[in-house]
Amino acid sequence: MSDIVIISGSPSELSRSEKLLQYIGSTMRKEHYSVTFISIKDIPAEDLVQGNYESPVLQQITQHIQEASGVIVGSPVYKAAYSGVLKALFDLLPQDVLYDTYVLPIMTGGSPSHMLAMDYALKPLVSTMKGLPLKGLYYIDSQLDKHQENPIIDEEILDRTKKQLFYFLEKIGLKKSISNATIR
Amino acid sequence: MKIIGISGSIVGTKTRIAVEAVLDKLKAQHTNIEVELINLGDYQLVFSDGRDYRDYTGDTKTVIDKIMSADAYIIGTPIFQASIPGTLKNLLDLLPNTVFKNKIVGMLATGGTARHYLVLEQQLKPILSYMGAMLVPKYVFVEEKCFQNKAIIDDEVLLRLAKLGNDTLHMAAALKEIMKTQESAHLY
Ligand SMILES: Cc1cc2nc3c(=O)[nH]c(=O)nc-3n(C[C@H](O)[C@H](O)[C@H](O)COP(=O)(O)O)c2cc1C
Repeated sequence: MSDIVIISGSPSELSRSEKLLQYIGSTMRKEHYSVTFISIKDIPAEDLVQGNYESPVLQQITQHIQEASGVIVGSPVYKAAYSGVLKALFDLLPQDVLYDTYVLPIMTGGSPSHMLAMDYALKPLVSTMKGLPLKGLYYIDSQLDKHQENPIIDEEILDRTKKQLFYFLEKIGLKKSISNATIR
Repeated sequence: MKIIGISGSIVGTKTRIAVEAVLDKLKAQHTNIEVELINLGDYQLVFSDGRDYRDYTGDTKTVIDKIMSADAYIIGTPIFQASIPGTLKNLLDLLPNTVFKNKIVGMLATGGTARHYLVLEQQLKPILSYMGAMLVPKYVFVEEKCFQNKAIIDDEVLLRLAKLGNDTLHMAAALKEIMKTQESAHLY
């Protein structure tokens, strides 16, 4: 059982959003939270494509999510919404899998114009699975460098990230502050 | 004029039946059009990973090519977790941004109850608009209770589906005319 489950919804090999989520995961681990990282790339594609509700991998994922104190869901913006493959995963999870769980939504997009995909697409999905979505974080590609240890290269969004992570941890009742030294 | 019906369900049959109802009626009423059904359940699509749409192979390529070649569409979706299924979203992800530019798209949904009527308004329309589609404003929501023995038994719903098909066709024909005059005036 982990404190925090991170779900990464990008199918791309060299994914920006996944790099970002991994970085966030590693900062949480440094602060001694236990983190389970789930990438949709680790789920057999046939299970998702064919809608295999019996898949053992999906049952394992369901259990991880149900036992977590908080969940971070990340997706690239695809066609002004979340990626289809992330939705394919949620289609196969129980409708109340996020019951009473605070969820920090995170999106990365090529354009600032699609920030509200978070509010109109991703948060309603979290709500329908009975989760409690927090404000969330939206990054534009130019604010990220996926080749750096810390991919967040924009000061302002870095500050926002710290604040939102702190708030997320506060909400899930694991109020050890993230020291400023961890995220730099 | 080529109209493609897309049934966005990989499991059940209701969405396919509803899309077929639209296509069958169109075929019966108009001789000068070509219609084709793409039932997602009949194809093995890969997940979009952002590569150029021309670089896909197999079933994925077949479906993309078919969709690129049509003039108008009827997109049918089941409701999954208060939105469209991930597999239908994935099909849209696979297509280039401009695929529906200057093309007409009519929509229908099938779902347990009409409580999720607004899913299309809130979830599907924004994606299709972003992809350049001109949308038939009214869509049809077919409730589960309208189906019996793999057919739609509600006459009023069948009428609405027929109207959806006709509206889509007429809008597509009108758009073709507009494009023609614009082209000849070098406006386009
Ligand atoms: C299929 C596809 C569709 C995209 N659609 C959008 C879009 O509608 N709006 C946007 O802002 N960026 C869009 N992008 C850009 C990605 O959201 C952006 O590059 C993101 O950071 C990619 O994250 P990833 O590397 O984790 O997959 C799209 C990218 C792909 C591959």
